[in-house]
Amino acid sequence: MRLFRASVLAALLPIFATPLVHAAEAEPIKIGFFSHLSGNFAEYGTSFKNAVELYLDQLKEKGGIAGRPVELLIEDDRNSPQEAATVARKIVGTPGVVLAIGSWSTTSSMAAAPIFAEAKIPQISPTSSHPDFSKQSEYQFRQNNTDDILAQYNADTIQKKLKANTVVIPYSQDDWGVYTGRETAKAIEKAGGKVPILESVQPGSRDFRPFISKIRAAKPDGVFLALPYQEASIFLQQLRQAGIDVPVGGGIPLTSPKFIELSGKAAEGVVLHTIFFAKDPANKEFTEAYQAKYGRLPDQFAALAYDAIAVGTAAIQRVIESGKPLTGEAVRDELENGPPYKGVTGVTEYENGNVRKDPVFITVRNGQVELF
Amino acid sequence: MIELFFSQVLNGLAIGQVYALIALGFSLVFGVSNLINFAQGALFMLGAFFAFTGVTWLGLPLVVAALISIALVTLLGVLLESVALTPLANGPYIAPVLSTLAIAIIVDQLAEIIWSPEGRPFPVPFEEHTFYIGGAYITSTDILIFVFGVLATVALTMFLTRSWLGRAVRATAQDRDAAAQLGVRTADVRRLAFALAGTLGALSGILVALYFKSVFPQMGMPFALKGFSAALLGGLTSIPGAVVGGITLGVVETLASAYIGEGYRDLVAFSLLLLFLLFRPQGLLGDNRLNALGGLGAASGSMPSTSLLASASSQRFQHRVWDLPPWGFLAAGGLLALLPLLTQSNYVLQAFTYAMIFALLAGSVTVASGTLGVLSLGHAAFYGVGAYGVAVLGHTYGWPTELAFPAAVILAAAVACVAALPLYKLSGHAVALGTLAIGQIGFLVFMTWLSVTRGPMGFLNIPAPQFEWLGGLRLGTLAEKYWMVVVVTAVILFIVQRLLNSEMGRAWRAMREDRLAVHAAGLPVRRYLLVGFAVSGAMAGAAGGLFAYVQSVISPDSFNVQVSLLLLTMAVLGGLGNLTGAAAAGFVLTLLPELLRPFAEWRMIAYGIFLLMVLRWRPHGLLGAR
Repeated sequence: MRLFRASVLAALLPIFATPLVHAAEAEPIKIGFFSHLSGNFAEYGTSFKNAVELYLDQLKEKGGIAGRPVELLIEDDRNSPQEAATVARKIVGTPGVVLAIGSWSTTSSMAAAPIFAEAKIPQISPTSSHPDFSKQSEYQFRQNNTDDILAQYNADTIQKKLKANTVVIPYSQDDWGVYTGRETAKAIEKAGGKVPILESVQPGSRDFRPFISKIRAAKPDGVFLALPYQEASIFLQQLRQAGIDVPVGGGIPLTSPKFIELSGKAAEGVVLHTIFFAKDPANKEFTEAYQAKYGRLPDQFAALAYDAIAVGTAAIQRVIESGKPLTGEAVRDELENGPPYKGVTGVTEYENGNVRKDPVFITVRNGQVELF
Repeated sequence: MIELFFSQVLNGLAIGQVYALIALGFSLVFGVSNLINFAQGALFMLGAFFAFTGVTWLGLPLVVAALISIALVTLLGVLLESVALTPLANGPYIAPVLSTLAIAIIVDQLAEIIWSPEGRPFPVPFEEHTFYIGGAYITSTDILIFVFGVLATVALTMFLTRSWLGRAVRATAQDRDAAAQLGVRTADVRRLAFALAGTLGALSGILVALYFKSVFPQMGMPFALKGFSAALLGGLTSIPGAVVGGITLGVVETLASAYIGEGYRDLVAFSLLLLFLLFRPQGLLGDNRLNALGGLGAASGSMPSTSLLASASSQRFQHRVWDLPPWGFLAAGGLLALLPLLTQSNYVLQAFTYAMIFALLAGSVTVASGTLGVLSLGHAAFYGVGAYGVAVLGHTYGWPTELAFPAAVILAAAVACVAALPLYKLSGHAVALGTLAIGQIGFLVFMTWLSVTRGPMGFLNIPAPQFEWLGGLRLGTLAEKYWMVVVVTAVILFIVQRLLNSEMGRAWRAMREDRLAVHAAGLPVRRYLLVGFAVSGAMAGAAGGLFAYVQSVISPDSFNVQVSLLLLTMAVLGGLGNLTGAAAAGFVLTLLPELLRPFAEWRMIAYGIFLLMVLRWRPHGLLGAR
């Protein structure tokens, strides 16, 4: 029996034992990336991956980080918290990883957060907007505004830009929608507005006519869509179909080009806020490079991921230049205490892992987004 | 107020007619072949996507594209019957249902790969008009759907009542063997029914695409679920019933959305389905003609009180069964407990932890579906109750593990018991629909009961297991949690295997084979059924509790209908009723995808094909149904 056990051990060892490798000078710097690359909403995750790879290509031409090449470990979390936790284990289990970028949804990012905190590897989520994400530990960072700041921008969009004081808000029954709907309504009411209908919509819903009949009866000045782009586009079409032509405002998810594609004519005149506007001359270099490589305009998600990897690699560079050993801890300290970084989505300066970026307001005219 | 009410009813009629169209396809197939066709949703989705492809990629006019699409999907309907169902004619009764399920999984995933998972705008070639009636409105698309719906229903009714072929279809539906003896080619009739189901599926798919002006590869499943519900509400085998059922469902859920809240819409729809199953299982227009034979469900089994799953076991012919003795699970657990000594990799440990949790889950499904003979498509609900139990008690109330974990397990067992009450009256396919409704209701409750489950956000930072009675022993690291999972899983499987080998297990299997006979033999059938469900629910609840502790984050997405389907697949692959088989299938099928991670999008397709192959060549599962 002992012999048997020993032979099993011997057979399994090469599979599971992780060799101890000391980082050599020309050793590649390893960065983990995880987001949803398949399944529903895969478009967002693909934008992330495209942008990160674009940045790393550009970095490679400049000679990598302090002369060392970068190796990106790409994992698909299928937008599921369970998968996100699994791939996070896989990333932290790979020797030499000092930074992780991911994930798209707050839920998946938070499922992965304790694993990165335990492994002392900083995690930058380009898009997790729930305030709780960066409270997980000092290893969590984000690139976008938190939902409480966004809620104020949402309220500004509909109240200040579209001059609607009585606003109906349908929100998506998911982590982002529940918080956004509630906080946006609060912000509107605080500024003296009214929210006669604030109601949730199940993800994947397609038939909004009962809701819309209620809107017809309530006669609001405006509608704010706290919905993902698929639901929002159908909602908007059915709203216009019912002959309701009040102004409509929307949040971050609607900045995806898919929103305009799916809504068609109904999207005309919708006002959104964004921290990345592709036609801004200041972002020309990034926009052109992205379009040349992938044949489409970058969306806000791509821009946030681009800034996330830029901020992260800059922190790694500072660690190497300072002569300190390259560890996740050292990278974290540089992220937290680093100088402000001007990226394509505004300035990143971390305070407890959070950023504050000013929005621009955009509108849809003739099937194109323009500054409002 | 009254005006708003009427406009809401009108909205309900508009969506209701869409459901009615989908329900027609189900009723037709169910009437003729006594089969719940899960692939109907896939046919529906393909109808929409073929038309979409014709219009946007090939530049065809919509009418031409629609006709081509309908023709193609009609052929696919025939193909479905001859490839996936005919070869299984002499297999277990359950095989055809699972076969359509496998096809649905494969087609849905292929569609995501071919057309990408994103929604696409569906070009509408005509200008849309909206007509106002006071505060209510209808659109030209509604009228179009209405016209086609009426035409389809009238044509179908005329065909079934006035033509000889239609008469043959009805005769086959009433009694296949008698029809065959009178010279009806029943195989052809079946094929015809599937062809018509394809035609109706494609037609409704295209009309729905026009209604929503967009197409989504994921549109099959949600509309299929509504279609089932509508067909069942109307009375599964009745053509006018499908129409009435669809419209009832549409109006009820619209009113729910209007007066309770949009977020409660599906919850009300599936609760209505469950209520109907409980109090009027024959549906609104269904007749009592089959009651003499044991009611609706019995129409599908060989004997009135026999479960659909009966012949999955030894009835037809002998086959070998491989299974472990009870202590075998303890031994396997002992071996697995060595793993943390062999590897430092948390990734490997996490993968094995999930594999064991799914082994327990698949075991839970095999007890309900295999041993008790109640085809379960809703086990994710019990799994979720366990997970949320631990989360609420451990996180919100701060209970120590030795209290929170058993409490969560007992809660899951109790929920399973209550859920089994309506199922007791049902048999055959109606049971499967009942469990499907229970699964959906569970998921929707996790989603909407914000004050307890925290809704879609779920729970974060569920504390690590901590035992007060063991001096505050805390299992913080993954290796420690892994050991907890090993111990709990092995001990539960050991106990359950002992139960299955005992008189209790024999009574359960006897009930599956012939409930009436068990009753006649003086055994309390109902009590046994409830106990069986409690055991199965407790197993799923324990798996859920472990999952919550290991993951420390839970959200409703982990407990949706896809999980239920996956678990059933595992149980079937392992051999229904065979605990060893289920545990092995759950373990391997959770671990295997980790190795094949780069091929993630092909994973579900591989499952589907594997399932089809097993149904064809080893209908009793890999380790043999027990």
